[in-house]
Amino acid sequence: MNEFFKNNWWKLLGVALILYSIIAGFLIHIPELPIIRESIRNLFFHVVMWFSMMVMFGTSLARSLRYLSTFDIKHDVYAIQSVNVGLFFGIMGITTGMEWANFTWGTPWTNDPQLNGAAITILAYFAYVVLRRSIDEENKRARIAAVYNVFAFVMLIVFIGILPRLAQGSLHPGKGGSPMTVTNLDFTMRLVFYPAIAGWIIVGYWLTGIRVKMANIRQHLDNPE
Amino acid sequence: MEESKLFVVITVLSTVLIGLAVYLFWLDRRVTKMEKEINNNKN
Repeated sequence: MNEFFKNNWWKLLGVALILYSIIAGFLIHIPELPIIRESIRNLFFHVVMWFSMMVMFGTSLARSLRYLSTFDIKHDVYAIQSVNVGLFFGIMGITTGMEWANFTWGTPWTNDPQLNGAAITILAYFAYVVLRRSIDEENKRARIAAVYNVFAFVMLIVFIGILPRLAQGSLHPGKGGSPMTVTNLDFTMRLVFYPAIAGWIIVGYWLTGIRVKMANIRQHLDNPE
Repeated sequence: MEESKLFVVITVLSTVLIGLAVYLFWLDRRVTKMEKEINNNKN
């Protein structure tokens, strides 16, 4: 039991942090803002998905770069599995965002730079998955995918980090047209928001690790030595 | 609006999360065992 704890304590920490964010997220006092009101608590459940997605994609980029410098196929396995987990977070983010938007604005989607940027980024990484499937040879696939991964990450920076900031009058919270801004993020909310992100990132790494193991097992079963 | 309704929501969500975590730990254990078996067979 102690051996289990020694190797897996960090997984429990991740789950505990998320559990904390669920409980505290509903109980803490929130600022009274018009229109958004109680749903601002979605910060802890919707926004955290985006940050987790970005970290997973960043991890994938790092692994792709390591593959390109070492040609150790292990890094490529981590690269694709990180993207898979990142895509899960991204889909969760888009879906919960559409649910929140429909409730707040009466429509699940608007012609908004932040929304479109997030959608384009996710499509770029789906393209990464599709690209990989088109190449059979392991090392060739890894190399081409790694190079594409660099471009995909650049697109992420542009479409999520840069373009939305240049736009004005977006309804999305944190931009001009909404009562909530990034700088006035309540301190109490930060106390839940940051641990939540940490928790989800930890779980993201955990999921990636499991997927890597499964991929290695499948690889072994498909190529009996 | 009663407060108790909020506690029900918290309880439900916590249950879902803990259920997911238990499933993940079980899956992790299973997959790690398979991996060990394969590594043993290789050597």
